[in-house]
Amino acid sequence: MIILEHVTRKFGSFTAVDDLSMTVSKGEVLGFLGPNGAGKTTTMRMISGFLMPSSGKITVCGYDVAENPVQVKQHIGYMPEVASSYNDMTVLSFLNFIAQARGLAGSAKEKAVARVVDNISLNNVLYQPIETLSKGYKRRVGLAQALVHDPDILILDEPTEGLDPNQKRDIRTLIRRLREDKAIIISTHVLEEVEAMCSRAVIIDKGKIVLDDTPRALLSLSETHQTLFVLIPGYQKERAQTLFTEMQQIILTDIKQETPEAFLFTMQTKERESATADVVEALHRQDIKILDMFVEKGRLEEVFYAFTSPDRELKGPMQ
Amino acid sequence: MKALEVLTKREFVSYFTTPVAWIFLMIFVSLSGLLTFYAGNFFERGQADLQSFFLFHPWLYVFLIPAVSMRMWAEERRSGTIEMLMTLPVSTAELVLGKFFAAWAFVGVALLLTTPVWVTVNYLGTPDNGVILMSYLASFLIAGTFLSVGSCLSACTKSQMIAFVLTMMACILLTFLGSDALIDAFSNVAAEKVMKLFQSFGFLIHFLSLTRGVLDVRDLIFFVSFSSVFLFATVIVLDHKKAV
Repeated sequence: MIILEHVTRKFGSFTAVDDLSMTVSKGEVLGFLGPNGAGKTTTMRMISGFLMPSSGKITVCGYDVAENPVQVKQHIGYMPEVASSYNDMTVLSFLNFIAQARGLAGSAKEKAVARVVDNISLNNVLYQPIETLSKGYKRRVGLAQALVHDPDILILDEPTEGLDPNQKRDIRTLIRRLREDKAIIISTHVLEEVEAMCSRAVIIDKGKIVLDDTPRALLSLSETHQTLFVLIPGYQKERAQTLFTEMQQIILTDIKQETPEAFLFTMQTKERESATADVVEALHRQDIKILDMFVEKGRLEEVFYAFTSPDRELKGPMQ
Repeated sequence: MKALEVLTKREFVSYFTTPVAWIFLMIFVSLSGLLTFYAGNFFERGQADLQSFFLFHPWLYVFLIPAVSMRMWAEERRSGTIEMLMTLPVSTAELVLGKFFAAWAFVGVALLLTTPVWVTVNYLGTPDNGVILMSYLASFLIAGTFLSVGSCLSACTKSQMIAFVLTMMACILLTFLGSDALIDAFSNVAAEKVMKLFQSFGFLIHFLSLTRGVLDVRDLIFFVSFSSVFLFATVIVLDHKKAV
């Protein structure tokens, strides 16, 4: 539904987005990641028709953004990063205005506004001027504004920024519910959100895509992916230690006394492939008790850092 | 054209949610009254017309129109709402026209509020109401033209203050272009033909000819085309300088 072909955007001599190509299809929730200034907002602004690319082509729902901006905008719901509503209006009059400007009228308008108010729980603040609302509510009005016409494409620039954990959860649930018949692009700095609601994660840096895969695949790039933690009773520490040192599949990296009676063994698996079954079996054979055990899925944060930090040339992305 | 209606309505209503609108209305109505009776010697002239009322309108507009037009785009830019506005499925031209018509209608309200002056002159004598109506039209037209200039300059900046000052300067210049003072000052330097050309761009001359009650199509065309040029310029400025 969204196709970007060699899109470049320059501001003076600064290149914000550099020859970027990607496709987003229906049903996808794309998490758009990158450090500040990487070009996320610029890209989203170009897709939504607010900015024109310096070169390249963007097609949304079959329409070229440069040639048919109005048609494209009809299909898109866009929630900007900053203020997305008129402060002097009440929530209801603002949503009515947006619905009307998007061509809804009469009972269709009433229905659309009621639906979105209900979905985003704005019932309590309908008659309040937007400037008197808390930051969280303002963001929600921004989201409501983007959803009122039930668009095919949803572009959300940091939708959960400034929300409390409960509100964040509500938004995530909402997005999961919406994703079936839409293409959604979400930019965020909160990496666990990507795992929670995105089907695909794109990391961009300096205007270029550096990674594009499922959140799960990105996690497997993490250094700590498949790190195994096993809690062993103190009296069996020596035996466990010998066993782990002898095992070929793993490298024992740390032993820590968790409680007076228990030790936590940390081990990395070679090739970052699961060795859990082998470890469990070996422990059983030796009659060593497992008090607790867990496997690290990996941290997106590490992947993010490895691919976008300024000194990554020195360190290099892993493997 | 439905979208245009919606946009205009919102903009128009939004004027009245700020104190600026009420202050503007108060100042416009009281100043236009004061100037008519004191500076314009309404009674001393002993004539049943509103010449002394309309004479001051361009000068009032020079200061008051920029106050109306300054927030049009500068405020949208500063607060960032321009992003929301410009991702609505409407053309830039519709947005520009919506804001312009709303501002123009607002000034129209201010003009309507001066009808007591018209009632007064009808009570005191029997003026030519046709001329008065024409003068109101002239005043409304010149206000619209100033607003179109203000719209363009407001689109150029994020700061309402800068928009205000620039618009005021532009309006003063446009008004002065036609004034005798400027003609006299340059009559030695420039050829008569050049001066005539400059004068034809001055607002005052077109305004005065309308307030005399002569409906000259050329004057109408002047104001309408002048406004159109600046509104078109606003569209161009916005399309090229949306971000930041």
